[in-house]
Amino acid sequence: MINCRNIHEYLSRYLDKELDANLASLITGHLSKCPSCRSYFNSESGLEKKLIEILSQPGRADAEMWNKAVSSLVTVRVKPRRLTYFIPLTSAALIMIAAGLFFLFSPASSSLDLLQASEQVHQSVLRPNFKVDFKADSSDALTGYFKGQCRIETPDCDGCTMQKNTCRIRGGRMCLLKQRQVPHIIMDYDATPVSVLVLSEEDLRSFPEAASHLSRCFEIYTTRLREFNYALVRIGPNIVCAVSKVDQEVLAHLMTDMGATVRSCNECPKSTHSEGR
Amino acid sequence: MVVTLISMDTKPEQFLELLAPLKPSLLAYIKHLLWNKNDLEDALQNVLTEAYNKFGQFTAGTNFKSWVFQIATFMLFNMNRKYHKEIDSRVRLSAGMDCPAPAQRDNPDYIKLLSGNDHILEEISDEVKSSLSVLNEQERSVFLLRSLAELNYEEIARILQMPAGSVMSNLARSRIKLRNELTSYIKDNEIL
Repeated sequence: MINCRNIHEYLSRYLDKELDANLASLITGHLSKCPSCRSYFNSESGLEKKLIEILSQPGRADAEMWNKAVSSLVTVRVKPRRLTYFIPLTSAALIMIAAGLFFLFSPASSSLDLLQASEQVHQSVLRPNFKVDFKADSSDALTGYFKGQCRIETPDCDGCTMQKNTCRIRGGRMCLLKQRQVPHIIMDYDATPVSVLVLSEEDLRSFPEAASHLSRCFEIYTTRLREFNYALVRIGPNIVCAVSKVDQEVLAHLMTDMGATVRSCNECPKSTHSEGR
Repeated sequence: MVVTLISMDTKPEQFLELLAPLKPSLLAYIKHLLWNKNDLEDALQNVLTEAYNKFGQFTAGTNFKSWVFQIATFMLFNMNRKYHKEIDSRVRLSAGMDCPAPAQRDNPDYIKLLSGNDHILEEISDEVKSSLSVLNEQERSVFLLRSLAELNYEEIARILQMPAGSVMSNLARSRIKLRNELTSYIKDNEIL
């Protein structure tokens, strides 16, 4: 029997709609007949709602903090492997095809907007004070380093000795490429820095020239524009741009090893062929 | 070398899509459950990263909200435990498992709080937030999981690994404690 005295025992569960149907209907019945209890319950319910409203009020920095945390989930997984010591035959074949394609097609003009923007980012790597200098070979250290920015994992790194590799990953970060945040992986190939930038289709829209070229060609290699070699390749859903002073073939090697597939580019206009080969 | 860009596959899209509606409640939960407010940004970062990394273990079609809040609770408890090791919080000293006397229906200060709750609570909104400190960690998490995350008793029991009856008693106790705290504040500060 529910009355004005014992109804309070059920207040919490009634407000939470956690009472069984029979008990809830008894309480509803009592409240419909008792204005005093009804008024009290309504006030309690209003108080609870207001408390929740106040506790839910967002802080001034909440949105920024949330966006930062979410953007840090942009993750780059890198699985290092010795390039010099183990080159699969398939990769070698792809390299030969790629090398052939450089001579035949090697498209891209010196004014290609994305290459220029990537070069500027790469220039920062060459500055003496630029440090992405961890020499970690455990994924923990790597993930810790990029906390809040860009995270690199080496899931299959057990036993590998990154320092001894000819191609070594120095680190990664998020960088600004024409006001777009894109992952920037920095590698050393025989002590020469290589920048690898990874763009989405949406990022590519900021670079109409590159987008236009890539709509006709699957990959673009160009060389010796202001002493740098470039590669612009589609890998899966991504557009990967590499900039370095390393040999063009090495760059192609890196691209194919990352998963780029080389295919013929007969539709490339002659004007997009590389300069200075 | 194999570079796989998981940021571009469908996993983050699914994750972010499920996460987006939880933004206000999850942020508020982390903010109010964490003892050391200086760790807020780290805590949010850790919770999201942990949830994201474990997203492969999440079964599609089950309750994502409950799953994320479980991860958040576990991580925040750990962070709080580390913080407790450094300092003795007043909460730890004051919070007990005693059952407080509920604010009386005929207590004029409590009636004042009830009858003019919108106006009065707005006025003392900072005190409302800090009044959570009278709750111990268990009471606080139960109260916040119910009020902010809107989880039911069964889901809360699963997250906190306690019987549903304990959820009920913790929740009732936390509500009484909060009301008593606010009533005392109104009385002490002569808020009309």
